[in-house]
Amino acid sequence: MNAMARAASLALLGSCVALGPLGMPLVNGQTPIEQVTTDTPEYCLHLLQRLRQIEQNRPPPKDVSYLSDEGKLMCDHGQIRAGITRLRRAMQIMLAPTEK
Amino acid sequence: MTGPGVKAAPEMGRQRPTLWRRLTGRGSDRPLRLLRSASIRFAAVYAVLLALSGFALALFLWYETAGLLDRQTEAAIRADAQGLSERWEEGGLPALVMTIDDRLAQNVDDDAIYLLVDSQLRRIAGNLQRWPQGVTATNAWYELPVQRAGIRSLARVQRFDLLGGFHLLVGRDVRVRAQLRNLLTDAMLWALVIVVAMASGGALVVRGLFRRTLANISHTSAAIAAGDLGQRVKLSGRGDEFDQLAETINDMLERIGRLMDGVRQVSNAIAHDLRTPITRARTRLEDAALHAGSEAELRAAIERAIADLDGIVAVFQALLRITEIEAGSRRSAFTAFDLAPVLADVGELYAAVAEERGIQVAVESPPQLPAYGDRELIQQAIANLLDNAVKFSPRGGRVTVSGAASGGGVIIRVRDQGPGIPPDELSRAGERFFRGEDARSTPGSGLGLALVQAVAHLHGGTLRLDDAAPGLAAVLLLPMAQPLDPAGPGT
Ligand SMILES: Nc1ncnc2c1ncn2[C@@H]1O[C@H](COP(=O)(O)OP(=O)(O)OP(=O)(O)O)[C@@H](O)[C@H]1O
Ligand SMILES: [Mg+2]
Repeated sequence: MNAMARAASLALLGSCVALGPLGMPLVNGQTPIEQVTTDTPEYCLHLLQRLRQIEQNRPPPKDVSYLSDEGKLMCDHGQIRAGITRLRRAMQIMLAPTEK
Repeated sequence: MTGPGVKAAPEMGRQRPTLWRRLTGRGSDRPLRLLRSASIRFAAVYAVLLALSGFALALFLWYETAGLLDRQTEAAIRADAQGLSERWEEGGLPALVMTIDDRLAQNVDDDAIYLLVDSQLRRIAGNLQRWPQGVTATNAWYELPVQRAGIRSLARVQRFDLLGGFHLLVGRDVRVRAQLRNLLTDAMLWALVIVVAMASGGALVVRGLFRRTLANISHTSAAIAAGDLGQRVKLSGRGDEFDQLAETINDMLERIGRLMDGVRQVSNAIAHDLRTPITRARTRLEDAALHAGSEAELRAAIERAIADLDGIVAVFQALLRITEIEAGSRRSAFTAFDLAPVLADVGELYAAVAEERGIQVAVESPPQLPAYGDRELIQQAIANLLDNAVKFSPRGGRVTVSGAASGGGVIIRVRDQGPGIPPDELSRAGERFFRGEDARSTPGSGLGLALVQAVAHLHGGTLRLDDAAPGLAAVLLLPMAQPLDPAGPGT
C-alpha cells in the first residue's frame, strides 16, 4: 500500500517535470537554437534611422520624440531590449494612420 | 485507551491479541506497526486517490489552457501570413520586405518571427539569422527553440512557399505557454505538499476513529479470551455499522453463553443424577459384604446392585441416542410409511399399563396416515409422550392420542388430564435431565422429552407443549420432508 503511495507521488512529480515536452513536437532533438536578430544594438540603430526618416516627412508628436529619445538613451546604455521596445512603440504611433 | 480491562493478571497481558497492542501503540516496532495499521492504509488510499484526481485535473487544465493559447497563436500567424501574401501579390518582393520590416518595427510585444529567403535559402528579410534546418513542409506547425536577447524561448512557426522560389517563415514566441507550464508545475508541486499534509492529517483522524471504535471491540474480545465471558461490547447508540457489528458480536456471545450453560447444565446433571444410583449400588454392595448372613442374601444384594447399574447404563444409552439423533446421521434411514398402525400399536402397549391404574387410553386416527421419516424413532417419540401422559395422569383419568394429516405433514397430539406443567417450566421441559418439582416421586431420568424434541428436530418439525386445562397437550408436528410417491426414492 505504501509502495503504491510512493510510486504515485513519484509519478506525480515525474509528470510535473515531464509536462514540458508534452504536446510540443520539436523540430528535432538536436536542433540548434535559432538566433533572433531583432535584439541587437544594430537593430536599435536601424529602428532609430527609420524613425528619423519618417519624422522628416511628418513632425513627430511629443510622445514619439520622448519615446525615441528615451529608447536611444537606453540602447546607448546597453539596455537594448527596453530601448527597442520604446522605439517600437514610437514607430507604432507614427505608422498607425497609414496602417488603417 | 487504558480501559478497565487492563486491570487483569499479568499473564493476561501476554495473551492479549496483537490487534490490541497494535491499536493502542504498545508495540516495540513502532514504524512497522504504523505501516500495518488499517487506518494508515485507508489514509494512504485516500492520499493516492486525492493525488490522482488532482493530477488528472491539472492535466485537463493544461490541455485546455495550452490548447487555447496554441489556437490563438495559430490564428494570429495565419492572419499575419495572409496579410503578407496580399502585399506580395500587390507589390512583389520590395513590398513584402518593406512590410516585414514594418511589422517587426512595430512588434512591441517582441514575440514575432519572420524570415524571407530565396531559393538558395539566403536571407532577404526578417529577424532569424538563418533558415532552420528541420522546417521542410509547408502545411505543418513547428516548435522552434529560439534565443532572444540571451533568453531561450520556444516559437511556433509555419512555412509558406512563394512564387519564384522564395520561402517565408512566419511565427510567434510561445513564451506564455512556457510560463503557464512553470506555473502549473509549481502549483502541482505545492498541491503535492498539500496532499501529503492532508493525507497525514486524514490518517491521524481516521486512525483515531478506528482506535476508538475498534478498541471497544478488541477490549471485550481480549477480556473474553482471558476468560471473562460476561463482557459485552458497548454500543455507541449511533446505530452505525460499528454498532451493528457490536450487536452481532453480542448476539454471538449470548448464544455461546447459552450453549456453554447447556453443556455445563448437562454435565452437572449427569454428575448429580448418576451419583445417587451409583452411591446406592455401592452402599448396597458394601452392606452386603459386611452384613450378609447367607449366600442367598449376598446374591440378592448383588442382583439389586446390578439392576441399579443397568439403570445407569440405560441413562447413558438414552443420552447417546439423543446425541446421535441430534447429529442427524439417521436421516439416511428415512422411509415413507403409514403412521396409523404405529399409533395403534403404541396405544395398545400403554393401554395395558394404564388399565391397571384405571386410566383410559383412546387412539384417534384416520385409517391411513402417510408419513415420511424414521419409523422407529417416531414410534419411540410417541411412546415417550404417552409414557409421560400415563405416568402423570390421576387415577381414572383419560389419555387421548390423535394423529392427523396437516398441511404437508402429520400432527400427533397426546392429551392427558394430569397436573400439566407450570408455565415457567414449559420452556425447560424439553431440556436433558429436566424433571419437574412434582415429578421427583415418579421414576424417570428427565430424558424422555429431550428425545422427542431431538426426533422432531431431525424431521424438521417441532414439539409444542400446551396447557390443556386440565392436563397437558403435547403436540408433535412433523412436516413431510418429501412428498409421498410410491415410485419415489423414499421407498
Ligand atoms: N404429561 C405431563 N404432565 C405433567 N408433567 C409432565 C408431563 N410430561 C412431562 N412432564 C414434566 O416434564 C418433565 C420432563 O419429562 P421427561 O419425559 O423428559 O422426563 P421424565 O418423564 O421425568 O423421565 P423419563 O421420561 O426419562 O422417564 C417431567 O419430569 C415432568 O415434570
Ligand atoms: Mg418421560
